[in-house]
Amino acid sequence: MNAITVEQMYRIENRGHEMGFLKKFMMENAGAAATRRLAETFGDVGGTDVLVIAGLGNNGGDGMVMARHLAGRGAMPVVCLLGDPRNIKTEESRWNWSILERMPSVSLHHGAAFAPPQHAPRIIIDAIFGTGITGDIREPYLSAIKYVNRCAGSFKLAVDVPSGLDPQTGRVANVHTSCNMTVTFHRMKVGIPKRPDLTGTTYTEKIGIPPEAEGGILQ
Amino acid sequence: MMAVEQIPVGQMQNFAYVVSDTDTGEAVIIDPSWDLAELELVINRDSLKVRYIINTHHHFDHTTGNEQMARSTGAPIAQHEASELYHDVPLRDGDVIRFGKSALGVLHTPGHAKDSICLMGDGKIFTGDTLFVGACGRVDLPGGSSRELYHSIFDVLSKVPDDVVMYPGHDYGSTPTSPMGEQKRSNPIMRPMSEEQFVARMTG
Repeated sequence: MNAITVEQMYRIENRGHEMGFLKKFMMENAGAAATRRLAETFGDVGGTDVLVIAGLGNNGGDGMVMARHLAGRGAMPVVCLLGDPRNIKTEESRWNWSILERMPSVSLHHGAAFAPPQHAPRIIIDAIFGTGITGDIREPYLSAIKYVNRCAGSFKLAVDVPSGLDPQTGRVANVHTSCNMTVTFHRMKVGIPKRPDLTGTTYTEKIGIPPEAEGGILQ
Repeated sequence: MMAVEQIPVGQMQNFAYVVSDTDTGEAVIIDPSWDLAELELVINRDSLKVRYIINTHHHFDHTTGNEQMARSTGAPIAQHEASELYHDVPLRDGDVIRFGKSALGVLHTPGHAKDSICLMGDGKIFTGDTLFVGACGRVDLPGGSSRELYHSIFDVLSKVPDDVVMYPGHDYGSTPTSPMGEQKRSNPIMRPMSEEQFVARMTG
């Protein structure tokens, strides 16, 4: 099967959701699968400090799920939400944030500005943007992406797609992250393989969407 | 007398501090983040009256608990005037923060961030991310400058008396605190060098 378009993925997710396989389950499986890939690469993530930089959309929600799974594996996650939690865009992401709020094993930060830490974490999870950006990337996303790129010694995992790379066209915005590993979900998107220099090693993980959800969408 | 409670917080090896005046029970909090319950325990245990919440600089690992601490203590937030974050009390070099019979002087020490400050009083200095035990803060983040850090270290911190004890913003060293004299001898970043050597070292 060749790569699919972003539009096809969107429709498949919606169809799966309508069939009763809710988006919160897709999010859970996505975060769990990405965590497994990360753990395979590192062997043991116990005691490892991980910074999850999360946007307000579902890409950020995938990152929140990763933080919970990483905490369960003994890692030390910090989640930095780029904005006010009240502005989290989707129910499934809000639900995941509310779980993290009850977990002392995960350090949370949120704010309208990104004032980066001294610490260059061992691992950074780029869960800022999952889709292409219209127009220029602005604050606080701009500072967050620049910070990721300045942490030269950190291992960087992109959730779905490196932020600033358009998974449909392969074009980049005014700034973008460069990652060591990209884990995308369900099927590869057409734009992602165009920039292996930004994605690092790519993996495509199934997240439990019923194959019937593709009916009439994929030819 | 000034009592210091050094509290490891969060996952980034940060230190938060509760600094109290033992005669009056008045106190300041420095860099509250994450494990605020640990700070509250100290405040409640010693029945402290928190007069100020002070940040050594605006980076989120030093400020993320500000709002909550301000709510629970009613204390104003004090930061260097160059900070872009919300604060009630703008600080400048040479200002003195008084709580009970104790006081902390403000030293503006840019380099890690534009608004980096150190706080000194009663034989103690809180250095934030300007100086760590055995190292110094990074200068590659927005607002960072190796030239400014050079002057902060060699024009300001090198002149701090040897017996003053340093309390850093992160637990990165072989010990959680260290006398400044020991840092002047053993911290590679404090060995005498020219500005150009320092800049080359920080960018190399």
